[in-house]
Amino acid sequence: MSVLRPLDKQPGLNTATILLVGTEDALLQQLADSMLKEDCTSELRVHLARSLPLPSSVDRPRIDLIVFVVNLHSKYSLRNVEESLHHVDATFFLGKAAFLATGAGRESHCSVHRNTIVKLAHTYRSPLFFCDLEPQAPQGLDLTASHLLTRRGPHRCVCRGSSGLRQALWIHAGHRARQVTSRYWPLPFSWLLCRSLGLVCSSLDILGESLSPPSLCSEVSASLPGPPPPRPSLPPFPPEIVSPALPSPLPTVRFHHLGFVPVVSPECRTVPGT
Amino acid sequence: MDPYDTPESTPRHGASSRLKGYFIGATPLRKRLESVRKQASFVPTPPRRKIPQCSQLQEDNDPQKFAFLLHKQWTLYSLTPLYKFSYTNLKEYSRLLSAFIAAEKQKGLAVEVGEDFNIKVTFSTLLGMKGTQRDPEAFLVQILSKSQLPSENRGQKVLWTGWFCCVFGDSLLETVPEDFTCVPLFLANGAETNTAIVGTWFQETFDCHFSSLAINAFNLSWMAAMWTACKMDQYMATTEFLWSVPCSPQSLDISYAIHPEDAKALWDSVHKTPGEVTQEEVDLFMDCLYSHFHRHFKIHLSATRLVRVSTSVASAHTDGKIKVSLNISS
Repeated sequence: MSVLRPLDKQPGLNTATILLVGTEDALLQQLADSMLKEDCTSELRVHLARSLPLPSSVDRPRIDLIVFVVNLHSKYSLRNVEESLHHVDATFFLGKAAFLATGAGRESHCSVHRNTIVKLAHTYRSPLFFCDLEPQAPQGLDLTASHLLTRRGPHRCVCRGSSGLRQALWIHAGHRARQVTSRYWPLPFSWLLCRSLGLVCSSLDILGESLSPPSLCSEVSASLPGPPPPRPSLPPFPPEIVSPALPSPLPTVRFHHLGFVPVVSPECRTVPGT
Repeated sequence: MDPYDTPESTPRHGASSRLKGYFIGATPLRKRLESVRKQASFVPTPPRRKIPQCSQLQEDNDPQKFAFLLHKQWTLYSLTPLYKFSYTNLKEYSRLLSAFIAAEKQKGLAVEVGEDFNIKVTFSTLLGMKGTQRDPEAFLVQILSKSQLPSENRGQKVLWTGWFCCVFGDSLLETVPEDFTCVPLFLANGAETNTAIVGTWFQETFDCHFSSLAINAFNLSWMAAMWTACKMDQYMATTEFLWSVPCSPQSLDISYAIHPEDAKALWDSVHKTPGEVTQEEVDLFMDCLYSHFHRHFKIHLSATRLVRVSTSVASAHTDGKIKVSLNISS
């Protein structure tokens, strides 16, 4: 029974891998496509899976973020996600997992109550995004993709001026992870809100893990349901990963009320994941 | 764990003419707005609902007067609170509404094909159609046609019926200020044109807003479970579910009919606590049906959308149409 663990493989240099788990194949494909269209400082791979556990025969890179996609119109997708959650190590929920709920806009079609998914995200201490990934609204996809990506800026403070209110309030898991349940707001309004607030959030993942003390990680993970996870033993930080481009010392969280930070992003090669 | 009906929507404050009063006494307004905002933003689904054992309806010893409400298909609308509605002025309201309907018909907006007849509107209260003592009384509006010919008997044909009610609306009544009557549920039976005319008159007279109420699949499964839970002496109709499969180009409909006694037996095996229904029981009841269907047809019904539920007690459609088919025994 393979359980996904966040730190069992070496991180790739300048690479980030995102795993999307959900039953709605068409929507996952569209979300993946629009994520790959976004500008990224490093190489981005997106893997799609209907459910976990993933077949162990495939050699895949280390997964940096898992997004569980639930369609509120179908109870089947919720059950699928609930069962997949058992195959994820508890340390993933220290900032490397997120929930995405679609279909909340059409209340008359909802089979799953919004509170069910809110409670699920609250139980797993992970952020929850509400959005409508309808094919007729492509801007919804782009906004969601950019929100998810700016949370995953590997190695660097990847900040975009239009980063959403949601990840602006996301406090890194190095502190007690407090997740923000985002409300379903019509998209232009949330975009305007983000621009007017101009909050910029930085999230450092790989460096952040090494800086957070292991005792805090186990304290947070002990409150999660499921089997008691082992104490995460952090591997010795190989010196070649610390690229000289990073400034030092680097705090885990940085908030700026500056407005827009231009994206320092040269060309980035994106390889679509399988 | 308050027992409240989810079809009741949260009231929206219409533009009040007492704005000055609100500025002076800002604290009660702020408190009301805060409670409304809290309600609208995070309405928790009740984990369990109590089946009301003895409602106001049963205290009234004459169930026959509600017999005209049965066996009719009602279209549901949700309604914001009515401003300055009073139960003592019902005669005047009926006069005004008759005049309004006559004027509308003369405008040619609603042309009835057929004979020209006089329209009479009656307003009456439905005593007993409420959950608790705090609920406002339900009232009924009927459009009747007066027969011109004296040779016919004085019986009047009912053209359109609509009634307003508030059942177990405690959470809504807290936020309603004075001068407002909160009857959030409106049920209409009859021609659409008449519904539109009556709705327009109410909106102009009482500064309220109608919106059609859609019942989502989550609430339909609750209704199915609660109606199956009713103990009946004899079952007149099969329990039937209708699902809509979202596929292109045309959606597929799956209809699943169960013998009502089998459905009751399934419910009895799932149900634990007498007198209340919990979310887990409803989910388990529906999951049993889904897994049975999957075993035979390999189709995941949980990935589809429940559109219609029909039991011996009542039936409901997701577009906001319900029909109570209960037979009143003498």
